[in-house]
Amino acid sequence: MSILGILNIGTTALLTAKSALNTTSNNIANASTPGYTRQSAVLASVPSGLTSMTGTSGNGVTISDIERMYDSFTTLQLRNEKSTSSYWNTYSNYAGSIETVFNETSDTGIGPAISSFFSAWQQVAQDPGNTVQRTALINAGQYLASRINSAYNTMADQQGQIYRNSQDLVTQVNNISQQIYSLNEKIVASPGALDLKDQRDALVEQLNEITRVDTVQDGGGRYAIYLGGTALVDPSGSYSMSVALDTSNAMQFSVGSANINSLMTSGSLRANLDARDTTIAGYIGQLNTFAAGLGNAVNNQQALGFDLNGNLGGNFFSTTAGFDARDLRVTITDPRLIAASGTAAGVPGNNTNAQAIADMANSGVAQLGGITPIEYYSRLVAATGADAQSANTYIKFQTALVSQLETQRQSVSGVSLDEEAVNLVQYQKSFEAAAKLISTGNDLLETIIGMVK
Amino acid sequence: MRITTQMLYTTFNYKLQNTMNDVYTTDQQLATGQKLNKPSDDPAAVSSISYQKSQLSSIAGYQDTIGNISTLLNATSSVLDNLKSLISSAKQIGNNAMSATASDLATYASMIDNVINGAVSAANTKVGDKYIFSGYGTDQPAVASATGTLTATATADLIPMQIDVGASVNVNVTANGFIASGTAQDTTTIIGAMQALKAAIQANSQAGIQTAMTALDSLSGRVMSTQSDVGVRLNRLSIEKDYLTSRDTDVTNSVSDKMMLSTVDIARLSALSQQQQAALTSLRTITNGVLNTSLFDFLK
Repeated sequence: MSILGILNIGTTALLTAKSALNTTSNNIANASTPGYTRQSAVLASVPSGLTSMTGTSGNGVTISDIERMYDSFTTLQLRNEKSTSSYWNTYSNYAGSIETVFNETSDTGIGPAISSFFSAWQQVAQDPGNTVQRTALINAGQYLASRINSAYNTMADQQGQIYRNSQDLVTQVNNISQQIYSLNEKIVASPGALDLKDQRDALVEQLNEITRVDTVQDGGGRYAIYLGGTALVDPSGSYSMSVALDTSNAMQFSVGSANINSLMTSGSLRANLDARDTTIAGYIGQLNTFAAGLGNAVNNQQALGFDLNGNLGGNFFSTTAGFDARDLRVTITDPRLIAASGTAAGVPGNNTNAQAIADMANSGVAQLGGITPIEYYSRLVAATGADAQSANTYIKFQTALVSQLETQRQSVSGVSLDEEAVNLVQYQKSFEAAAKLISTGNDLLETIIGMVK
Repeated sequence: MRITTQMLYTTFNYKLQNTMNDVYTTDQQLATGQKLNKPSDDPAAVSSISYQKSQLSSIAGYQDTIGNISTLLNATSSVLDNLKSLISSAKQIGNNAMSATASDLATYASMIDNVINGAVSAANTKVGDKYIFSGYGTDQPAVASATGTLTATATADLIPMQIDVGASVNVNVTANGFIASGTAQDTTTIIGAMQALKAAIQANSQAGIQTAMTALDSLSGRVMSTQSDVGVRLNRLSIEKDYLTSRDTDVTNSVSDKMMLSTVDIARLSALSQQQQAALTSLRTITNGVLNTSLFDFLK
């Protein structure tokens, strides 16, 4: 080993310590970067290439690899659970909005409006000839209709908002797919680009939160992304997802010409699909049934009675075939046209028809399956509450699970500033020692050169 | 397990969110005084509350109906009292007429006229804008004042009114066939018998006077029997009113139990709120202590 060899070894030590410091610096800089995977410099001694019975010292140190501390199993689990978590978070938001439409803990819900409507009929039955009571009944009917219209419109607006949100999410899916494809090509060209791999993994995670996908890595390091078997990204390119409304106002998702509704198992888009086209559509259907049932029952009974002019009663509510709850209106404007009397001769004192309608509050209505209007409505309220409650329970569970998995992943892939501080001191001292080695080699050379003088 | 910086942030963030959520829920309950603020707090209870509130509304409606029916029946009872007095007066005049001289008969006939007018007026009693003895024809008088006979619009119909689910009470007594009929001097009716008495007095017919007075005797009994029937109805209303008041209290209490915080709940929640706030403060202190320092703070 020559003195120059000491200088060479010192140089490798200096450069290696500097590179290790770079890695540590990068870790510290990205300690808070989402998706960043901790990197670690793997040091290896440089062999001398000579063998000797007495042993031969090596030629210094080098960095054999910059390792990415990646836990593929936990990452995969986390992606899947985040997808489920995203589903319940999204669904819960919508369920929470819908339950406020039917919030019967306040006195401004539809329930009190139903009660007021039937109370108004009872008032008319008490004094069937009195136009003040009749006018009050028309007002109560208009208020009930407006509350039902408002509930329908709120839910229909929610459906519109979910569709617009789905369009935005589909655009995001397409952007992410293109970015993953682009990163695939860069990673293939530069396999050591660890930060690009982090970016790609972060995108896959983001994609999973929107819609659950499967990821397959090929030998070249490319990711192929499949949504239930349909490729979004493969070695040939990325494929656009789209969403449109069909003739029955239901969302249809597709990739190319293939419909993928049934392939979406979790994520925000699945939550959008379920909330919009199953849950809210179901509530709207029930509200339509309620409005039509109530409207037709009142109209049918109204048609059996006689108004203050002695004529058979006309429709109280406007109900036409295939009508929606938003169309429910009170058609009667003249209070004299309310058919309170059971007979033409009984006008104005006969109250049997008004009483029959008032009795609907407590007796079953055939159009509502034989139960009372308030019972039908109460079941709807319970369903919305149970839906929101169930979603909240799932969220609590999923949030805890995701938090636990995130902790596990962070344990392997996350940056510890304390640990990096230790590394920083360690490599700083290595750097100082390497510098001292070079300085010592230099002193030795100086000594030898001095001997010659 | 390696503890990393991001792990600490994530964990503390998760715990802070959970604790703040608990504090928010408890504070919201205390602020509103309600256990339930949205259907998802307890779907079955909210559904039941919705149904029970409707029951309370029905009960209030029935209580209102009972109040109105009571007013009508009390007015009817007063009128029947009045009719009883008028019959008694008519009979007194008839008795006097039987022993009176011919020259006094015109005076007695005139006195009967006043009694008849009183009976017509009683038959046309209004409560609010309704004629209460007109059957279904509540917008028209029951008896024509000129003839003392029933008007064309007055009917014999009783008007039932619901006072609870499946329970009703007739709210009226009709003049038809009782106070008057379509025929003058019909002795089966009060005014008719009085008219017959007047005619008999004018004709100085002892037999006629006697017949009319016998009819009035019988009608006096009918008035008392009708009054008794009205009393029974009023009694039933009173019982029903008590029952509805009791039900109203029960249902109100049930709704309140499900929805509102009791004194015990408030004490429990106040203690819980203090515990949660103490936990939150501790968590914030710990978070601040752990996240605010690292080894870098000790390196020189």
